[in-house]
Amino acid sequence: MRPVAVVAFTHSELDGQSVWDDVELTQKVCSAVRKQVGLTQNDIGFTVSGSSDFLSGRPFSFVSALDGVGAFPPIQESHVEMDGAFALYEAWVRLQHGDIDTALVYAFGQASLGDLNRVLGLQMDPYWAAPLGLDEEAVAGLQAAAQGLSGAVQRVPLSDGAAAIILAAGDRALELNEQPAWIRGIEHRMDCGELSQRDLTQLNSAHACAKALDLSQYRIEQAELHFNFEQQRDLLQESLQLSGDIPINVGASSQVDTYMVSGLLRIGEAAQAVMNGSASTTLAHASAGPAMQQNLLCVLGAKP
Amino acid sequence: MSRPCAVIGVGQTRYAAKRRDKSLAGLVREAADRAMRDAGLEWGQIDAVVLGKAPDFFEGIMMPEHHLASALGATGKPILRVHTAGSVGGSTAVVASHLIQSGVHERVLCLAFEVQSCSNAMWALSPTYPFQPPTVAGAGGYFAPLIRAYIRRSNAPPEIGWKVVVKDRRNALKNPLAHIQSEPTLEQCAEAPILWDPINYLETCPSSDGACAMVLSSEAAAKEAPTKPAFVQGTSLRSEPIFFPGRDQVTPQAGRDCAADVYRQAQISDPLNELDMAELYVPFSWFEPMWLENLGFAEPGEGWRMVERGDTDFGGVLPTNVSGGVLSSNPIGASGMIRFAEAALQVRGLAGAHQVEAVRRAVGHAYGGGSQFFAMWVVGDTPMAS
Repeated sequence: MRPVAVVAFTHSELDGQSVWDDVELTQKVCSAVRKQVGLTQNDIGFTVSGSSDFLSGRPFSFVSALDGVGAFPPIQESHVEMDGAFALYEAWVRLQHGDIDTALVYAFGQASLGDLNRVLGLQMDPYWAAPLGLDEEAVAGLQAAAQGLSGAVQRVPLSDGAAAIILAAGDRALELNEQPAWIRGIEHRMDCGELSQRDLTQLNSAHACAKALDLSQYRIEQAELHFNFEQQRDLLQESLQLSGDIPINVGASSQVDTYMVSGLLRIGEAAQAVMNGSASTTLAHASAGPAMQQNLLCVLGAKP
Repeated sequence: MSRPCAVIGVGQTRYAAKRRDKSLAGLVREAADRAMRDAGLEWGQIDAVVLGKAPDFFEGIMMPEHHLASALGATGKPILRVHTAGSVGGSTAVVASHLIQSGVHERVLCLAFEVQSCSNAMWALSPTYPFQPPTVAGAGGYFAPLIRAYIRRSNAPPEIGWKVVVKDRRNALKNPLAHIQSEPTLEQCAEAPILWDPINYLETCPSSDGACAMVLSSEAAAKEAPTKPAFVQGTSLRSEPIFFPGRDQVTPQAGRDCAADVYRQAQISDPLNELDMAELYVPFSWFEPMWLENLGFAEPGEGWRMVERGDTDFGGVLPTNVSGGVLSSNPIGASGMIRFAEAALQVRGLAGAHQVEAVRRAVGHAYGGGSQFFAMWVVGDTPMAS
């Protein structure tokens, strides 16, 4: 594959409820991340974002966010109704074509606009699961029970926010950043849609990503993992067979869950550690769906 | 570095106002199964899935790809979920083609759906924004002023809008999957009640339930396909903001740029003569002449003359929307992919009763938002020479 690297990363303030709207958040992170590497929007080959309409409670929330990008003259652009980490995957694929060398990836999410716990209940199967009133905590509780844990589940604190990353391919990456964070491998997988058909103590899709990446070949020095409930940390470490002495979630933004942005933030933090020289190989992880149904892994390194 | 991508399977559901016979998963599976059968593949041969649909609000299910994973055959596989407003069906196909062209995967299933009977699309398409007056009533409310502007600019006579309706609905009679199966007369079109001045009831697309799927593959995998593949000769995505001073919303630059990009890749300099048919996203009849101009098939202000001459009729210079188009079937999230899939079917010679003779190259087009998101592809019977 063509070598692609993270060359710039930024995020908004992540201290709970934001005073900014989606467009303002987008504008802040997009202009800041471009400024880091001295690019304007006209220099960007492909732009792709991640967000969810259900957070802002209206259709097409990504449409107005485009105002924050500065999309005229018209841009090559796409959007996934997914965490920004999956948008980054789409950009990585697009950069493989070889006709463009840079991509801007951003994500925004303001969970404070509604009751996220109840909103996430609307992800469940509409015939068999949603009518039971299963919300996010209930599903996490089922998973904790399957793990043999008792007591209330503990959610990672939520924050509103946005993040942006610039990817560059080949020599262009080295022109933009003396030490880019090269994407050594990136994989994502989905588990089955029926909660009752899953062994909730096994994160099969996370394990499959690790296997596809041959994760054990890397000497991971830092892992930025995305889980919404504390008990999922252990599940994830087991599924990925991560050694217990690897520091987890060192990054400042990894202390909170910025819903729809967290995965992109984890990639950003893992990349930052490589770009600032504090680590030579890092791992980033993103998850989505009930009880971490969908997982993405990205290995970043100082060399392509 | 980019390698050829082929369309080796197409599957569509029957489109209807309400598909009460199928669950959401069942409807999606109907299209997916048909595409898989067309491609002659088993589920294990699919490497990844790309799902597209317009706002989750239409069905009231957030990120439905999670509960639909099994129905989509995506368990244990990578799946991406695209949402680019009305253009999403087209964008989904383009994202899937990237997975092949980049060399990441060999065979990808892409699918787009909408079950509009779950909600009222008109009000779902009337988003309100904080601190802004709610001035838009549905997509028609948004697009009516653009159509008025087009008519004023071009001095087109009113029957142009009616002629497009009669043509598309007549074409739909040859497409057993089409939602609307009745051909109005020009007189009926003239007398239809106005919904959003100047758009009348018959000039408006329906709200449909349905899904469309395609299997895309590498050139090597296409050689093993049981039927003739169509090759992707160019793809393009373009977006611009919805509101800014001086924006030409009648013929947006993003649409012009998108067309220029896709023609450049397909080495097309004269689209009207080098393309054998077109599937354009025409949800309100007047958008046919508007897009004919925007996409370079006619000079500015002249698109309506093509309609008047019958150039876009079955058997015309550029048969357009021979499937019946969005005006005859409109599951919004899938409507763009249907255009892309119908273009591929024509190249493959598998369009049945609405097959145009000797199609070597065809264009599929989708747009969305406030005429601001564009997705296109050109498919042909050979891959582009690199």
